[in-house]
Amino acid sequence: MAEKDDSFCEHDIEERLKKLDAQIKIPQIPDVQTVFDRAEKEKTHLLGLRNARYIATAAAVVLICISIPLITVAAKNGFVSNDNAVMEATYDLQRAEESADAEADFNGSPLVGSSNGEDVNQNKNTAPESGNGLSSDGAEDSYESAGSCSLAVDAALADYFSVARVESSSSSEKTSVTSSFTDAVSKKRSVDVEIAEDSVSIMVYDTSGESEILSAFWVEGEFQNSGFEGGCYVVSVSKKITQDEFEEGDYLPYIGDAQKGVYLLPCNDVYVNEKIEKAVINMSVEINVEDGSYKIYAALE
Amino acid sequence: MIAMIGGVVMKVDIDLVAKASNGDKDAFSDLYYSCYKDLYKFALYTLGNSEDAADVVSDAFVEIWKNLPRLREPGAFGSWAFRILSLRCKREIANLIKKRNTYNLDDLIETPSETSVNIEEDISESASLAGALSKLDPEDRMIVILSVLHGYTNKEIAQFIGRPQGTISSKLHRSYAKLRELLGGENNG
Repeated sequence: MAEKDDSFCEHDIEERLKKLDAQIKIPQIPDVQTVFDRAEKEKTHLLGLRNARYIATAAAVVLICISIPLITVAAKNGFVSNDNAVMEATYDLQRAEESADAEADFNGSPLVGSSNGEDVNQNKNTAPESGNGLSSDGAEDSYESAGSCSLAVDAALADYFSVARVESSSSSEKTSVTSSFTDAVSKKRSVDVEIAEDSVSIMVYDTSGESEILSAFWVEGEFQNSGFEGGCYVVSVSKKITQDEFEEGDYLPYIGDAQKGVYLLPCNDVYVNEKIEKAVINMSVEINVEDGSYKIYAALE
Repeated sequence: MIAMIGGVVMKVDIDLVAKASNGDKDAFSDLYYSCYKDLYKFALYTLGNSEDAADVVSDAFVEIWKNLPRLREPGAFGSWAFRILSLRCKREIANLIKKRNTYNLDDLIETPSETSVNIEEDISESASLAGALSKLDPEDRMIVILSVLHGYTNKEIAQFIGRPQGTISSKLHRSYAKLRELLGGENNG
């Protein structure tokens, strides 16, 4: 309680706070068994996710076995006539190896799943041409109003919603799942990804000591997939924009950060696809597991 | 053994923490029931309604149970638990913003017992303080509560909240000033 004056007022406030504190109504404490049950349930979901990863890893290995001979034969027969095809084959190999080594992404990120980490970074610098999202790492322009949103995002959505559309109800099952990941190299980091009803929360731990929290934040939207890609842990989240949200100007996803507070994803950081087909903001959250910092690459599609 | 590191309110039995971190459910159960009240109050002050507070505390306890084996220093349990809870509260604050930060005074104030001599005065005083608290930013409320009611230092609060110590000091100072201003009429009168 440093830096406190000894003025009567502050002392008075403290005393009154303590008095108020004594009057707080405490509800009936839930049975501790509920904590154990929930933890067990989340553990079960986690195992399911891990199994999915193992299956994906096995599939990747099979893909390597199939694709290498095919490409080799194709190259010998002269069907592979440009560098792109060779690069694609190389990329497949890299991705599959990453999958096998680091329990990588099991579904493939809509934004970054087709690239390894380095490619992602390169593409981000030329985002408008390549179709990848722009990045946000927690700018100060929080709470920006829809009125100040970039014309590109507004215009694209206005165009999209100008055609009568039936809003499809979300088919995703709302579950609360925790997925843990440990850096395959250092073994000193872990990332917990918890899927809540309308957001995905991410906590990055330094597990070399007493589980120091490096960063903690959440992103509004629906979880898509997560995995280790190119040296970073990537979590893909998508936010479906409804017509009501658009009309109310409240459609940009919220991001809550333990350090930066709650802010809206700056709309200037959202890359707008040429054709909006789903009115979905796909976000790729790229986490540096060394220091817990992250960047969000977003695209309106 | 009772730990009193930093906070002055939440007392934690280190032996219980050590046992719980080894998977002892009975020990965790004792910890749970002994800490619930303090954690709930903190969440209630921050979020302003009992339902959200109970949900957040429940989430925090699940996380505490799952991660307890990683806690190497049992004496740090109290501050570690508050840190997890404050992060959970931060996340919930977004919903508060969407809901226009509804601060339910009824959830906060219990009608004093009939034996109280100054019932009306007590209710009025508590209501005005709760009303003033509701005018603070949720994070500022967190800081005030951790400092005044839980006795944590600015340095410790800075670690919980994830902000520089200087920011905590200035926020605390500003919060006091705002509360003083909001309650000023009564104090001066």
